[in-house]
Amino acid sequence: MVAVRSTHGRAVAVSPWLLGAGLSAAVVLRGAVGGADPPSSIPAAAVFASALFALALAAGWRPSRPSTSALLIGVAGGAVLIALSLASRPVVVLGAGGAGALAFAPVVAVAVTAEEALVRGALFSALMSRWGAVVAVVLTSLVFALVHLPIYGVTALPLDLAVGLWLGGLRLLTGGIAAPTVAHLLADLSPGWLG
Amino acid sequence: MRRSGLLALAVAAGALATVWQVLPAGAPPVYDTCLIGPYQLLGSNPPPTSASQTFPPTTSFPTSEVLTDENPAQAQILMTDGTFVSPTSAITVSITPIPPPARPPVGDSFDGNVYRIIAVATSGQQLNPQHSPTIVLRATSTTGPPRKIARLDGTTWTKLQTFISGCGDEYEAVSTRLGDFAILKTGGGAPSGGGGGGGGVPAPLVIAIIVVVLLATTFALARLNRGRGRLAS
Repeated sequence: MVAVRSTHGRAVAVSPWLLGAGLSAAVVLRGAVGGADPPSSIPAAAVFASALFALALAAGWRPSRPSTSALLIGVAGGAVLIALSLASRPVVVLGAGGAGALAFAPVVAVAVTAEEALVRGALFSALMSRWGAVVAVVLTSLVFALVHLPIYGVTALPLDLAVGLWLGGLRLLTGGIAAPTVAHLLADLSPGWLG
Repeated sequence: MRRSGLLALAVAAGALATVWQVLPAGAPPVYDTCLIGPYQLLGSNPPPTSASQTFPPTTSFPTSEVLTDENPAQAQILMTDGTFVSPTSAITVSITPIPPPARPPVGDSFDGNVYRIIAVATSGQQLNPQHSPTIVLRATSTTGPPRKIARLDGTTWTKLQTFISGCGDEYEAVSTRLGDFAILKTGGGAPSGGGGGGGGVPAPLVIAIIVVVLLATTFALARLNRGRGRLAS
């Protein structure tokens, strides 16, 4: 058990191990509900997000009003993620996803916020309190990569590790989850408008 | 803390740039939870759609794309400025799902439809691109063995350098010419179940057990949190 102080100064007690166990169960549940195509399953995304929110709230994480600077840093962070991915593409077409991508955006937003609330909210705080910032960034990056492993396979692991480090850096820089959430959200939504 | 954050960002930027440069073909997008409609196979109901677009005579062909109507499109072609030069005749770029005109290589199998992607002048003459277009095809699922886009050259399929794009089931490749394209699944055989629920049907018992574990974990976390609050007060 670890005592952590959340970004709003509220003392909470959480166990990183319990959070890890809960997150693992949520990942398995998402795969089971999603059937053959978990990334495209709205019920799977909804169940996954609900489970993560419940775990984060139970661990003491609470949403707070983000600062303008954190939001701007998040936008810049998202722009970097998108720019790096586009640099490796031969052709980029605007508006590729159309109305379907727009309709799915709220689901992506909820899933991303839930992931950030648990991984870089509750879990990050617990790890940082016990082992410091470096361990918190590294371990949450590892967790972030492992969460995506069942869906995208081993080939996605290096990229997700690097993205996890980037989002962890944003979390550390701004002291909250607003910046990594915005960056994560922009990156996740980008295939809808850039093909 | 600010310094640690900047340091982490610097390390991450280096790692990201390296990953995108070194592993572009093996790197699915950053994104998850994408909306993917069911794949429409040729001969099934509803059938896969075709696409066609006619461009007026021009010496400066515009950057454009032609794509089928599924969500997301099962086949598309992305063309940059000057891909075709046809000052006197209109150009029609079309995408049509067709029965496989040749068998896949031994050990491979088709994943999805074969698409004929061509550009023709009004005379019916097929045009060759001046700049290589990008072909984007969807696979039937996000899970399973590695895949490559292949182009039919004569009677044999030539595998192209393929990148994963979109939501994990979309693949793109640059092709020097048009023709018949398909996704080849390395390893062949039946489509992979992909793990998880098995056969695409969620197992109620598995889900029930996981839900119990999740509820117990959440309850334990809440109790720990409440206990800490009492200690603090």
